[in-house]
Amino acid sequence: MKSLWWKCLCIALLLYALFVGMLTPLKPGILNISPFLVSSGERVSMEVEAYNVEAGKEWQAYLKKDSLSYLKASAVELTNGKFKIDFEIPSHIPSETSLQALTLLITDERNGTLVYPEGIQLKSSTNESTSSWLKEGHPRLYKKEGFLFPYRNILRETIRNMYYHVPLWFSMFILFFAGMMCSIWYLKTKKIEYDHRASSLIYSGMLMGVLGLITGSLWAKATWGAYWTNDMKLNMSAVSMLIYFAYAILRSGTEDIERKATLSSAYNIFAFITIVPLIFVLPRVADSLHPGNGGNPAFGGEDLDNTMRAVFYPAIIGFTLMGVWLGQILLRIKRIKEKIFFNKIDF
Amino acid sequence: MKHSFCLILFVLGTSLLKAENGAFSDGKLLSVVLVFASILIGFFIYLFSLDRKLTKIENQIKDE
Repeated sequence: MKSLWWKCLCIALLLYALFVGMLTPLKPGILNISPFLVSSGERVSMEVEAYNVEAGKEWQAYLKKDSLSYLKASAVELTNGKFKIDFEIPSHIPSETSLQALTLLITDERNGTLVYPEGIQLKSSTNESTSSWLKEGHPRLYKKEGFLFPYRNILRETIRNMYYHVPLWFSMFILFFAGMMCSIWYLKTKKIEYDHRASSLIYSGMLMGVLGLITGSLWAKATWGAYWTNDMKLNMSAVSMLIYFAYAILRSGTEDIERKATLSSAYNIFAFITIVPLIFVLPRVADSLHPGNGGNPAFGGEDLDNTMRAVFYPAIIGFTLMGVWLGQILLRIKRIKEKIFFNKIDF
Repeated sequence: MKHSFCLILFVLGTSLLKAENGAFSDGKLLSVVLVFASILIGFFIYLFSLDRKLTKIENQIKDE
């Protein structure tokens, strides 16, 4: 019974991550805008497809150029999840470049603010100044209250993968680290028990890593458009998986138990030291599509807000405990094998 | 095994309920379902390999 509590905790946390992660609705958002190319001085009527919106109180729409220049829509209408928004684009655009990206904001008290960053391209022809951009500062933007996940363009519902894909990598790393500590301890004490612990943790960590690659690949197909891209982080995590596959091969290729344990323990320490720069340093130095790498903004803001943290962190603990559990069963099998067949059969 | 199967059914069921507002077509929710299913399949494969190991040990004990 004493060893059962963390297994129950593991099940509870994973169920929590599944239920809350899948059932919490997203905030409303914008799917697409047409036309997205507008030019200065024209009166444009846009059709905007929205996601998850409910009937609002009073809709307002703005085109945002920068934090000081907003353009208010002359009319906003919502029918069947589609907005019809009219803008009168002023003939004077306060800018030097002829083409620039504008952010569309649609706001309402009940629905909060729908944002499509840089969703509209504005073509400007130079004209005299008759400015009608709002200059008095920030317009009133509402925020939708309640326990809701943020809506991100491109990601949409797949933002939930954050609770299933990312914790796999976290747990893999924790398991590999624990495995390395056991290996160091084996080299220090030469007790075969620690080698069993190390290899069990590494094998369950490898399971997490391979699942991380597969789930990441599925997520990439939905958001980046391909199962595998030339992203640095993808290639380097695949390489680190290969490094650990070599660990498994090294173990199965050596007959003598003591030799196997010593060799693989030493290899394990080097393997862990190698994957740290491969996964954490290189993708940051080079370019990467992952958040937090290669100039992309890291976790934070709308990518991982507080509602998401409430699911994300428990999911990390849950998946790590799951890995420890799976590793522990393997460890117990190894112990039994050793007790019964130590003198008779090689394993 | 049985519980996990129920979970898959549950996830699929709730997702289908949401499908009316375009969670699958516009929201790409299928990707999340596939991701979770692949994690479960991975755990099952691992469990099967443990199962095989145990069967081997059981057989060896029986032989002696």
